[in-house]
Order: sequence, then structure tokens, then C-alpha cells
Amino acid sequence: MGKSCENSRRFPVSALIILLLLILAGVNAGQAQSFDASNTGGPTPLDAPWRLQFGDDPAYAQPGFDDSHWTLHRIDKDWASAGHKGYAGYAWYRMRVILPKGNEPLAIAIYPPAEAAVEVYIDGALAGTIGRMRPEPVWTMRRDVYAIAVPAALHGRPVELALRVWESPLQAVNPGAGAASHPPLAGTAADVERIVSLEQQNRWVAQIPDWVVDMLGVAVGLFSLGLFLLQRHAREYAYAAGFLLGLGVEPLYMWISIQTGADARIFWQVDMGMRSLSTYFWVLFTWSFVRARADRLLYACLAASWILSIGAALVNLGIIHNAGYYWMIAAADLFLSSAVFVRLYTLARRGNRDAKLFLVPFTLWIAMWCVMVSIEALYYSGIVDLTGAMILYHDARFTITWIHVGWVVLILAVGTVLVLRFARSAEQEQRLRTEMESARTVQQILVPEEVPSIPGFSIQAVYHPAGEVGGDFYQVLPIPNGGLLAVIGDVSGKGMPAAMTVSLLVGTIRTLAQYTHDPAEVLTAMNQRMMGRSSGGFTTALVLRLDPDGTLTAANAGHLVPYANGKELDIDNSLPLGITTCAAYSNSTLHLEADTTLTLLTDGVVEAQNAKGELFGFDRAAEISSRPAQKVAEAAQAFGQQDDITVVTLACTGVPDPASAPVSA
Amino acid sequence: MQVTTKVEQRTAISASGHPVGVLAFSGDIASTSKDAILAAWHALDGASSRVLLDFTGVDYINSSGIAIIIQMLLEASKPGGRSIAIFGLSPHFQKVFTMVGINKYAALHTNEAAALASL
Repeated sequence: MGKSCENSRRFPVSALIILLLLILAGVNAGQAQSFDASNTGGPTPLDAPWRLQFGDDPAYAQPGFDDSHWTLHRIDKDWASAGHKGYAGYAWYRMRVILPKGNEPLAIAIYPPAEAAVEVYIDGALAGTIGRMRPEPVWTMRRDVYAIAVPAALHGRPVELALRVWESPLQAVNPGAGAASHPPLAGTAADVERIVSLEQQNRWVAQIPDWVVDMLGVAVGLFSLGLFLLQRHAREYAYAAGFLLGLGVEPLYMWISIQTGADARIFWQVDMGMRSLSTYFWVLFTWSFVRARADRLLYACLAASWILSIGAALVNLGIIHNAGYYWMIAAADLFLSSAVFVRLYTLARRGNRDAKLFLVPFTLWIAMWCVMVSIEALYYSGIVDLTGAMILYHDARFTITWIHVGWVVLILAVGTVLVLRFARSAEQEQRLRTEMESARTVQQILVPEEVPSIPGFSIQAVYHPAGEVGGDFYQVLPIPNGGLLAVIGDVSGKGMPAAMTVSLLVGTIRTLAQYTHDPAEVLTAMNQRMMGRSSGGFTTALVLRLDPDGTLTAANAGHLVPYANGKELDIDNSLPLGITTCAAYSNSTLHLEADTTLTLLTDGVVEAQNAKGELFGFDRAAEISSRPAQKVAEAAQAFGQQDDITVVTLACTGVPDPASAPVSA
Repeated sequence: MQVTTKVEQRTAISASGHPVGVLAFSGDIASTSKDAILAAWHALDGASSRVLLDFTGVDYINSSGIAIIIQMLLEASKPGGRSIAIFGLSPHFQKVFTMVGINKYAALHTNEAAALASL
């Protein structure tokens, strides 16, 4: 699904030049293989029949060589018309030319046959080379016309002009192989240079429609890249950027290759690689844009996108010819277009809005593309030349084809659907953010950000949710006997569902605390509340009551055991909440010494994970558990936070402690 | 990155000479493992009233994974159910299993021989 790279050969006609030449030189009907260019007022086209010989011999360059038995052939006619259809290799042209007199420097403009390399000999001396001929000839990227300087000593004299032409085997099979695009011109160097530069300008002017399409693609591609940077999770923007920016890189690469005379086979291979990559991104873009599942059709399309590269490699290796290559592309493109069309159509029928939006411009585009590729394949197979049918507008400067229109429609369609998608997802993100903020507000009301100050206890609590809203919770409530009831827990899962469960549990705990201060009873009630609300996960919770005399009563539903001065307490464990109504929770009772600090954690601490995948673990947790809550949380965070981290420390100060300052996250 | 759970089934003979169905898990155990684990559990021969769970090849178990295992153990603890032993857990997960009360439903062992001796 790349663009046609062959249009410059067939569509732009240098009509302006030809017109100029006709005015300057008039129609010259010189005699065969000898041409008097001495008396014209401007560059003279050497358009009489030349002597042509297939094969190669250094003697063919020499003046005085007898070429009378060579074929007479017009240099702008293909070799097929000289009975050498598909001929690859060397051929020589010879002509005797009388050069103009005077002191002004002279030059000859050579229009080399397509894809060929040319050596120009004047009276047996090599005057210039076009492309790369030695040591081995190479098919290179070249301009359409070159100026070859004529030594001053030859002015006004008859000279033997000999052209040694090499046609690449890869291109020799193409229609028109061996034909120069125009007969050489002889004239003053100034005139010839002017023609060369005019031809160059025309070439660029002729490519304006291509450049317009490419620049439009680059603009939309950059725009798409910008959208991706704003919404990194939306890969379709990145895929669209990859697809469209590839279009812009290609003409730049082609320009550089022509200027440097790069090896055309390498150019072509890289160029087809870039187009394959662009097609690859295009397929990914289509699938991800309409949110289609990654199915076999996708993988088949991704594989088919590399056919361009494979085809180019087969041509370069001489396994297939251009015609075979174009049939291969035609087949691949037909498959890709039909597959994408089928995917869009089925999704559109099922009510996929994006697929519907994209279906019309895409259908228009593939219809044009399939016609275009078929025309190329027919042309290169020599079956029929329908290339003219693709022309929408044509004048002396440039040609606009239906393919240009198709690309503009497609690029604008991609741009439009991207803008619509972006606007819609930005709106959705805003709504989601608002929802998350509301959830956080709800959670903030329920989960204390500030630790309550309870006389007789020193309490610290740190809560670091891993996301906007978390699944950890804790409550520390004063009870009438002067003690406290503390609950810490962790709802499995993250985000909104976990946050809502936390809200439910915190409400339950606060209500229960009005009726009971028995940890096992609190857990049993919480378990009932959690049944049927865990959706495959569970909630762990530890409830403990600390009386002013240091008596600790605790019940545990699968939660981390608390540490007392760095040592794990011996507390009975039971199943987490929300798994079975049969879970039985029992109290463990202990007596704490006066200077004991209890540390309650959630598994965000022990399951903190470093870059190597190593867990923070129970040993490290026990080791640091006697540090202040803030330090414990920081140590786990620094190790590598994966989940919500909550740390609560409780110490019985024995006497009311007004200095117990709350610490917030 | 989450790895898919694989469950391999084999049989062993306990120290007391009874046949034991062994389910060897590998990969990560998470909510996505549910179908694989329960399928293997239900595919166990009805006669195998002694089951050994092998966690040697398991890298990570998240809370949903633990919930699946608890479900399985609760089912086995019903009258006429199966007796189960577990081995091959890392010290970390041995602790986690104890924490969530799994040890009340299945004995945790360090290796297969010890586990087979208990069944």
C-alpha cells in the first residue's frame, strides 16, 4: 500500500523543453550517423538515426572505426524495436558530429535510457560517465539529463561521438528498455547547462502533487504523534504517526539517493522496507482504532505488509521481474484491502461507530488503489498500457492522478477520525477523573487522614495508596473504658471497586463499634457483610482492642500478624473475610508491657518489590517494624511500592499523653 | 509480567501405601488461573481422596490466587471430601498461607517425601 514510485517516468513529459528546442533549433533532418551541428543558433538535438551495435569492444570508441555495418536506430526508440527485446548488458551508439565553431565552451546534453549507465567518448577519449560504469556497471539513482563538456580543441571540427550504454538486467525486461528519453543535444555549455537545470526544475515541479500529499501526511502524522504524547495509552495515535510519517521520509530519502547517485537496488530495497513498515503500522492502526481483537486476520495482514520488501528482494536477486513483482503487490494489496474492508464492514454492521466513520473514505481509497496497482501490473506485463486512465489533470508542468486524490482523502479521513477519537476520549478521561476524585473524597471522609488523638496512647499512622484510591483501610477508635479499638485491613483489587468496598467496611466498623468491642464479633459481622462482595478476591483484616492496663485482645482474618517491639505476636489466624460464612474467628488475649509499641502493617510493605523482582519480605519487615510508622512506610516505598502501604503504630503510654501528634501521609 | 498457570497431574503413593493424586502448579497463580486450576481439581480421579498440591514451580501467588486455593480447600473439607497436603512453597508464601489460615485445612510441608508421609 505504498505510493507509486514509477509515475515520474511515465507522467511528467518535458514538453516545455521540447518546445524550447523546436524554437531554438528548428526541425533538423540531418543525414544518417553524420550530423552537422555547426550552424545552428542554439543547442541542436542529435535526432538523426545513430549507428547501434549490441555487445562491447573498446575499439568501438575509436575514431575511424568502421561502423558502416551497424544497425541504424533512433536513440529514443527502445531496443525491442531493434530486435533485442529484454536485452541486458552493453550496447554502443556512434555518430559523426560537426561541432559549432567559436570560443564559447561547448557541451552535449545526454538523456540516458531509464536505469542505464552511460560512458560518452569524443574522438576516442572518455569525456564523461553517467551513473557508475566501472569497475562493474551498477544501476544507480540518477537524474534525467547530464551535461558532458567538450574539449575546446574540438570546436568547429567533425568528431566521432560514441556512447557506451549498459542496461541493468533488472530493468531490461521493462517496456521501453534501452530508449533514451530524448536524443542528445549539442550546443554551448551555457545553453546545455540551462537545459539541464530547467529539466531539473521541471522534475521538481512535476513532483509537486506528490510533495503536497507527502507533506499533508507528515503534518497529520506529527499531529497524531502529538496526540499520542498527550494520551500515551492510546497506541492508535502512535500507529497512525508511524504510518503517515513514513510517507514523508520517502521522498527525502529518494532526493538524497538521486543526489548521491546511490545504488538503486539498495535504494529500492530500503524504500520498500520503509513502505512495508508504513503498511504494517497502517494495519495496526486500523485494528487498534476500531478496537478489533488481535485475530488471525490481523496477523495475516501484518505478514502481508512485508510482501513489498520480499518482492523487492526477489527482483534484486533476479528471481522475478518487475511484472511478477507488480502482480505480487497487486495480490498482497488486494488481500490487505479486502481484509481491512471486511473487518471494518463487519464491525460497522455490529454498530461500531469508529468502523462506520472510517468505512467510506477507506472504501474509496482501496477502490482507487486496487485499480492503480492493477494498471501498473498490466503495464509492466506489457499487456496493455492504461496508465493514462489514472490521470485527473495534466499540463506541461505536472500531472495530478486519481491516486493523489485518493491519498488526500485517506490522510484527511485519518486526521478527522483521530481528532474525533481524541475529543471523545479526552471527555471520557475527564469523566473518569471526576469519578475518581469523588471516590477519593468519599474515602477521605471515611479513612482518617489524621490520626485520632486518644488519651493514654501514642498513635502514628501512614497511608500511601498505590493509585488515586486504595484498597487498604484502618480505623482507630476510642472505647468507653479508656482503651481503643483498632482495625487494619486490605481489600484485594485496586481502584474504584476496592475503594467502594473499603467505604462499606469502614462504615460497618464504625457502626459495629457502637455495639461491640469484641474483636472476634467485629470480624464475624464484617465477614457476613463481605459475603458475595469479593468477586474472586478477599479482604484481610486484623481487629484489636487495647485496654489502658495493657491487655490486648486480637482476632485476625488472614491479615499480617502485628509486631510488638519488632517481634511477631502469637495470634490465632483465620480465613480472610468474604470467602465463607463458616469462617470462625476467635480472640487471642495477651498482656503488653508498659513500653511496648505495636506495629500493624498491610502486605504493601512485605510485598514491596525491587527492580530485580525481589520481595521486601517478612524478615525485613520484622527488622524495621520497631521504627516510627513514617520510616517503615518510607523503607517499603523506597524498596519498590507495588500496592497500598499502610503502617499504624500503637503504644500504651499509661498516662494520658497530650503530645501524641498525629502523622498524616 | 504475569505468566500463565500450568497444572500437571500425576500420581504418587503415600507412606501409608495409598494412591495420591498430585497437582503440580507452575507459573504465577492469579485470577486468570482459576479455570486451569479448577479444571485440574475436578479432573482428579474421584477415587483419589488424598491429594498433594505441589507449588515448587510457582513464582508468585496474588490474593485472587490464594482465594482460589482456599475455595478448593473448603470444598475438600466438606464431609466425604479429600485430605490435602501442600509442599514446595517458598518461605514467604509458606508464611502467607499460614497467615490466611490455609494451614488449618491442609498441612504445609517443605518437600514431597514429608508431604507423602503425612497422607
